Amino acid sequence: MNFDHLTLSEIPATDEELRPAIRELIAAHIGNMPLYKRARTWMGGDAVFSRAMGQAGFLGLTLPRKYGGAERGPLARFVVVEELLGAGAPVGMHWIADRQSALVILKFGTEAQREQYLPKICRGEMYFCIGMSEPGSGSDLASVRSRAERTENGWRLNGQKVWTSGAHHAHYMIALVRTSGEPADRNQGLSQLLVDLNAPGITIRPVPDLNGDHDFNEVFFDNVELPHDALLGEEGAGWSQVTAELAYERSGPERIYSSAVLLDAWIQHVARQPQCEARQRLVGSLTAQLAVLRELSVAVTSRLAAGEQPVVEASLVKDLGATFEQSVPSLIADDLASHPEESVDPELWHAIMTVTHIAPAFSLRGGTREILRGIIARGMGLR
Amino acid sequence: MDELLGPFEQMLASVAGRSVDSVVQWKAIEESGYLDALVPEAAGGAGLSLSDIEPLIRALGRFAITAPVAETMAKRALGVDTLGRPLSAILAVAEIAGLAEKILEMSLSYANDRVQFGKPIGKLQVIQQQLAVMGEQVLMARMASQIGCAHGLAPSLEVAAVSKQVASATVPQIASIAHAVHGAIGITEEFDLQRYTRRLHALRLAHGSEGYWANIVGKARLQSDRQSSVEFILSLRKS
Ligand SMILES: Cc1cc2nc3c(=O)[nH]c(=O)nc-3n(C[C@H](O)[C@H](O)[C@H](O)COP(=O)(O)OP(=O)(O)OC[C@H]3O[C@@H](n4cnc5c(N)ncnc54)[C@H](O)[C@@H]3O)c2cc1C
Repeated sequence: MNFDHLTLSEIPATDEELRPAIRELIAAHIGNMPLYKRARTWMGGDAVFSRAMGQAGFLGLTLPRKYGGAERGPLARFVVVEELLGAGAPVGMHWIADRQSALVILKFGTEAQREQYLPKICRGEMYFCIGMSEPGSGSDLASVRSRAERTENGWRLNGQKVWTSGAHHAHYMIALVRTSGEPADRNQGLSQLLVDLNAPGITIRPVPDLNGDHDFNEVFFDNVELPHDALLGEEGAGWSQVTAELAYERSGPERIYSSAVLLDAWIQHVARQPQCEARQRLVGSLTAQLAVLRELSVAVTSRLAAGEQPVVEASLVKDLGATFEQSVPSLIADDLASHPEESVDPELWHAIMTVTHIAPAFSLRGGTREILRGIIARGMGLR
Repeated sequence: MDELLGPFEQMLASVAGRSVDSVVQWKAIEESGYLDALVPEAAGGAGLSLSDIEPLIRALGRFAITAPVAETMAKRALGVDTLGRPLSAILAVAEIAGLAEKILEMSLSYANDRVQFGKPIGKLQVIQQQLAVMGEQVLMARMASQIGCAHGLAPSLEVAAVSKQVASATVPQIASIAHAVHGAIGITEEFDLQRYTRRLHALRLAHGSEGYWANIVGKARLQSDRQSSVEFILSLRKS
């Protein structure tokens, strides 16, 4: 790890030009959304909004034109996603397809698979979910036990996934499963499968989260028959493919902006109150941190744009971002409750408490804090 | 860039260290010609921008040079005797970033070398986690420095405030983790770590600590007509 790889980077003017149009699209859609819903950012979704984004050309920004993409770079996507997250737009439906599934299909899929999936993803009509975690496999992902066997017609899949965000809306899952060997073989013998979630033998059950929201699910596979072309990429190369997928998953601006909507709602409240230096300092330190984190996130995206896989860099910024995002609800709740004489919009309180309760997820999803810090330590040369 | 930094580092290496006489040190720095780095070419200088020399200021931090090298560069370029607080703060940030890099490097190599319980302490997960946190803070300080230096010798108050607020705020954690990892040897007069952490603590407070600058960022944010944090942050880049 060389810190010189993360330097202040410019977003090209041609990418910056996307900002007004995406702002307009967002403004047209979020008018009536209550604050606590906007504060869920990418955990909330709306198919109407996703299709509108597709129509306006804001999905698949980095994909080739022949698949319906915009053939732009990752920094174009950064601009669009920054605006979406900053406003709390309901991006949850297409989020995973646009962020990672499409890129994995483009990178490892056959031409026929690209043609089958990518145009629909770009139109905002086809949604994906991530089938990595299982009851016995969290951080230790290589221990997955779901298993697919070759049959005459393709594959027969058995097993279970869990914590699968959005499986109840998604059309497909990209699942990491064992296709040969035993769990003891670790990262040998794993493959990625494109699982049609309408196939017989699949049961999807909601797992309500602590706010009562339905984000994640458990997904059961009972003798699910899948065609030959359900295999994504190479048989047995699942581990290296999933590593590439995680790089897309960890490196985006959603790792710093999850609490931005809440932060801004609180700042608007504070701006209406009599001036108070302690508060001003809190507004200032949170704003300053976010400003620096934002440039770090742009710097990571610039490495992606240069064709690199900035795994350690992305882990550094994700962990910093999660720590920041988690501090926001706790600090602003203390601030508001330190001024009991003020009247606070109940919606703001509702949003603060919603984010307070879900905030532990920020350092779990996409790799836990402890796992990321291990990656960072090794990246810095500790063995 | 290495053509600029390489010789500068060599020069610093020859005059760094606690036994060096400060008069001798200053003479060497002056004779190197680097003090005119920011002076326009038309006026006989190298005509470099503050961003160009940001790595040089970090190098000053890495060598724990306490002489006012960066300040003199800026004063010569501007033709003034005293610098404004925003610019002074940003110069301190760049030095903080360099000190932070050096302290991280020392801590990593110490963790790989120091053996307890039959293995290097760097193999222990608790130590690895602490050093990862330190790495994150060093990265914040470095980016704060680049953000500050991107606006030349007349930075806006807001940019200086963001830069110094964040850099100063990294200091307590960086220093405390470095000392924790080094154990008792780090507390000794003789061991070099204390020279770097001493300077780090001093620069945290110089030209306004994190609290001072947080107040300024907060005031600007609250008075701004920008609705969202994203808009406010984008406006900083242009200021
Ligand atoms: C909101 C949310 C959405 C999610 N969505 C998805 C999804 O769509 N698809 C999907 O596949 N998964 C999803 N996940 C699951 C997520 O990837 C896992 O939660 C994560 O990988 C951790 O696994 P675990 O929860 O089983 O915790 P565990 O791995 O059991 O970890 C528990 C604790 O032990 C620590 N620990 C474990 N191993 C080590 C180690 N080697 N060294 C040090 N500490 C260790 C962890 O850091 C953690 O603190 C989601 C999770 C959340 C919270």
